[in-house]
Amino acid sequence: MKRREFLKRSVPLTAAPIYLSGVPVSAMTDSSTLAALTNAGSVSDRCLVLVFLDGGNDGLNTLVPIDQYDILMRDGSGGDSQPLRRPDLMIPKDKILPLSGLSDTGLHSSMEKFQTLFGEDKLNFIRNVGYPNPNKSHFRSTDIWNSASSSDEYVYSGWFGRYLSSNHPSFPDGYPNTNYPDPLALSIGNTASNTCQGPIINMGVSIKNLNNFVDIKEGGTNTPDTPYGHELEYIRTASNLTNEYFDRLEDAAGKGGSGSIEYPDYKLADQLKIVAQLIAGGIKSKIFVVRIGGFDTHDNQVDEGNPETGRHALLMEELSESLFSFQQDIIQRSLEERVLTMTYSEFGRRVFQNKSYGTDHGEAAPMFFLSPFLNPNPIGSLPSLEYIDNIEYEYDFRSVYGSVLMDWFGVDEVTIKSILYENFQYIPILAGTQTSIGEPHPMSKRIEAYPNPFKDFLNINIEVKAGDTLLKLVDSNGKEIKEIINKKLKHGIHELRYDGSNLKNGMYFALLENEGKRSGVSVIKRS
Amino acid sequence: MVKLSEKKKKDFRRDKVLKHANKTEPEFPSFIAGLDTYSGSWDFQMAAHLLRRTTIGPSIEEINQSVTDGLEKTLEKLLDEKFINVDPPINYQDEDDPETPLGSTWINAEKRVDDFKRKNSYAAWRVGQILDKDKDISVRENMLLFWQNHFATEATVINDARYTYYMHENFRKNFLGDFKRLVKTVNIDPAMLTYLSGIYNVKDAPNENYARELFELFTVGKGPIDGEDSYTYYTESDILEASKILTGWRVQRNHVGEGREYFTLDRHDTSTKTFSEKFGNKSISSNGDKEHEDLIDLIFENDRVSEFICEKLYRWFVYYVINDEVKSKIIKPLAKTFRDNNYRVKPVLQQLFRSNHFYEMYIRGAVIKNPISFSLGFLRQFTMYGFDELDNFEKYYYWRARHINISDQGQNILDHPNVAGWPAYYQEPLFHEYWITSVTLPSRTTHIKYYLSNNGVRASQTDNNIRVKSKPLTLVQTFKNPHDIVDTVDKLCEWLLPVQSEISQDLKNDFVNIVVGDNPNIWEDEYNDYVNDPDDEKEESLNKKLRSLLKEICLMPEYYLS
Repeated sequence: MKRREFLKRSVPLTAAPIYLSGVPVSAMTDSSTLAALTNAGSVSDRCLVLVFLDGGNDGLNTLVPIDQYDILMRDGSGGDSQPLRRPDLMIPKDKILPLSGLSDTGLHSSMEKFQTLFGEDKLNFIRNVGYPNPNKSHFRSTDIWNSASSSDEYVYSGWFGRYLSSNHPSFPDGYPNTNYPDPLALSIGNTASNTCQGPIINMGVSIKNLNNFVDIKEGGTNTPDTPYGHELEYIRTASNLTNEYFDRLEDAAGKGGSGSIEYPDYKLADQLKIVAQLIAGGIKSKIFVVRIGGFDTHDNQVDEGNPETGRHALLMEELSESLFSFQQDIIQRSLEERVLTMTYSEFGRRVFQNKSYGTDHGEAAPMFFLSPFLNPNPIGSLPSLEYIDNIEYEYDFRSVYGSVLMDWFGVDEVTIKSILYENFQYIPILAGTQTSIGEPHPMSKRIEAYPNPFKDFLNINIEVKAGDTLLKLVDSNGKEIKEIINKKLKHGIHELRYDGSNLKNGMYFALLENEGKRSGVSVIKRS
Repeated sequence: MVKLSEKKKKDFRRDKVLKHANKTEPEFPSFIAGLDTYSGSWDFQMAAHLLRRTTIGPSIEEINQSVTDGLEKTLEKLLDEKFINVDPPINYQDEDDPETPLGSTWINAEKRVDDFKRKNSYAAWRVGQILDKDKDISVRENMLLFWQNHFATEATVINDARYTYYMHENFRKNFLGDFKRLVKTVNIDPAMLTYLSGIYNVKDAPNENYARELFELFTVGKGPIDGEDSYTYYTESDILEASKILTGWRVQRNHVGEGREYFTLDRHDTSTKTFSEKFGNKSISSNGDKEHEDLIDLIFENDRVSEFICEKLYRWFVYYVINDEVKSKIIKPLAKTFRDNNYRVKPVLQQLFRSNHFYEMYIRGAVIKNPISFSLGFLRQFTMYGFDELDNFEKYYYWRARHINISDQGQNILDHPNVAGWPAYYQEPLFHEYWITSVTLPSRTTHIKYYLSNNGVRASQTDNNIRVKSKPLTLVQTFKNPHDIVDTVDKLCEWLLPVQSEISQDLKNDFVNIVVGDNPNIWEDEYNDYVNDPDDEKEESLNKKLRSLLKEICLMPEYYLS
């Protein structure tokens, strides 16, 4: 597939960060070295709220291309030269909500609140986000978006999970702790999002609501000195720690209170309300994942004869109203500057309508962003929709993720490439963010590795107590690559040198186990 | 450069997963018992142990029957290889399937492009097989899970439920059979050819995907690195040679029924393939569609295959720690049995399940139940009333909802996390402990509470009032002294919790108090009143008390163990 030219629309120069060694200068303000960046955990209070539009959102009915309105109204009666587009789905032209400063694009008529936010420069979008060789299966494409793999690659871990584990390589060992008392990631719903799946285990927890924290039974205290006792003790401990996380969340929910903003009665709004309440209550999870389902609009996407109503209109209203209330809530709670919200969907839908007042699985689709720090200019422009059935991707979603990691979480380009993909290209979604970099993670103290990134040789210094020591290198899927050392060592600092010239480029973890303690450090290989 | 030290199996070693985990490692007994035939007594606890490990959620009735039968007869039943014909999965929700009307099976239909509803149907059907209590006790469903985990695939990637169905049916038919033959069938199984790129493996561009896993995961297993590109039992060049042998196999997409794999000579590499010294530098010459079998014969010349499989069986049925002692006393002799019986699995399990080692205190209660054993096991143990009255579509709806439950707990029957299978069975050093995380624990808790809720469990897509419900009283009434709550608690603990000697009287008293509160006679009074003058309200009142009791017992960490 032909790779499209990068950045079709020019953006004001001021919005793009200036680079030094591949790191945006804004991100380096409080840091000294690249190494510090790579291995340090960002302790800023920022978080990402990820909104999954489950089912494949119809981008053309969300951001309506006014300039191609007549083309989209073609009913197929014009013969082969004017194929059927989507006349039954199009909202009357005068009902499309204009976006200030944009003549070619408007919003679905149910999205007044998005229109307001856009006018305040607190909402922006990138069009035509997707990936090469798109997969039209819901499950597969969702996996691709969550894992940030390419379409012919199967990756178990999630993109944000890999980011989190680059800062917390030994998780869950030693968590929660005084520096990280909160879940690193939080999904609202039944299951922890695959986006937060780490190389080994999910980096997050899930909660359904704030009034019914499951109390997990920790049981008795008898612990016989057998494998039975050993496993029993493990389950009790895990139960205890899960309860600790839940206590913490329950406590935060109480502290946060329900706020003063009235949310509309939608499932999405309920979830976002929980997020606002928890952040206000002091929860410092890096990511909150929420979901709104129902986007698979093969039929009755619009009501027959009234394209302003129907399934999609209700979804657009739920999305726009819920996010607006959320934004009001976090403004009210003085949290607005800490929260970036991003939407995604596994694919867009076809240009032409089907016979059931709906649309079938398509390819690229828009993503929305909400934050006071947005580049005010929309990114991406639609191709002519006259003859195509699928909208080809203009921006790779991994570049979108990477740009968020870079500007919002201060991750350097090298790490981004290893977490996401080699062809990462910066997209100026955010403007004026300044990322603070904190203390090195405590777990990395007993092990250090340099240079990072490394090309051939990696020097690893470990500080151990006398005894059994295991040092191994695992890849970002948790697969063991090399057992570097596995023997008794003397007390003290040991300097090791490892030849990694045959390794593939990417992120790796050097994991150390010594006298029952685990430590780890993430390293990057680049040849 | 650091010299890579020889990878050696360590004594009992594990990481502390979470910060307060054990500081001390459990002691091994100075020696473990071996494979000599179990000589101890055969009672309820022993029978319960055997059935908990080999079947999924044994009922009291099944355990009692096993006590009566004795060990040998129980083993005969458990390891009976006869094929049992069951109705195939049906379309229960896909009104648009052009091939398959609602209520009929899709296994012989044409491919459906959007076949996730068929996958749902398959997953539901499997749950139904596991929950079925009408058949004799058997290790079948458990072994099917073992095989599908050994040859792990992802139905979502294969994207054709029919392939997954037939692959697993192959495992079901051969669940205790000839492993060597089984590998030969997997080589060219349409699901595997699709999953591990076999269909793209052609002479001009050999694809190593399957060949690599054939060595690393399916037969000899990856050993320590012992040289450049060499993993003790095989080398990179062996992978390449093997992938050449496997070239030329394709899958006929629109074929209906079994046997959609076929061999194309013009895509097959006909050169002679030469293996490394790990395989005695032997060669395999061109042999058309039988060549892949020659490869398996060659790989099986290495005794390591038998050890690798016996280790996996041991981890599945016994415990995950395999130290030198376990290796020499258990694994090596089992592997010999395996080889002596031409790689038939049944004699291996027979030897293991009748051994002194299998019944010694050291391994009792040491296995963390996987989500299927936990959740579906629970549902097998506690009959849901109203289920038999459901129509087929409602049953499938109910089963499918249970599949979502076990998936939430980390064990999806359709999709393994990757080709290595569930990490609980291979990922050192945590193994079974992988099942227990801060995500899965709340799921386990929530699901058990739901199954025991006084409102019952939803069993219809459309009608929220169609529900099935536990009635533990019916079960308790089969006990010797159902009016005696102390006796009843005793019996429940003996059945549900794995190591009786570790269940203190205090704990049992707590359980009793949940039912009786501060009125010690309340159970007996209510029970007798119900027996003398039964009505629905009294029955439900007793059931409610028992459900509260079971919510305590079955959410104890002890119930997580087997």
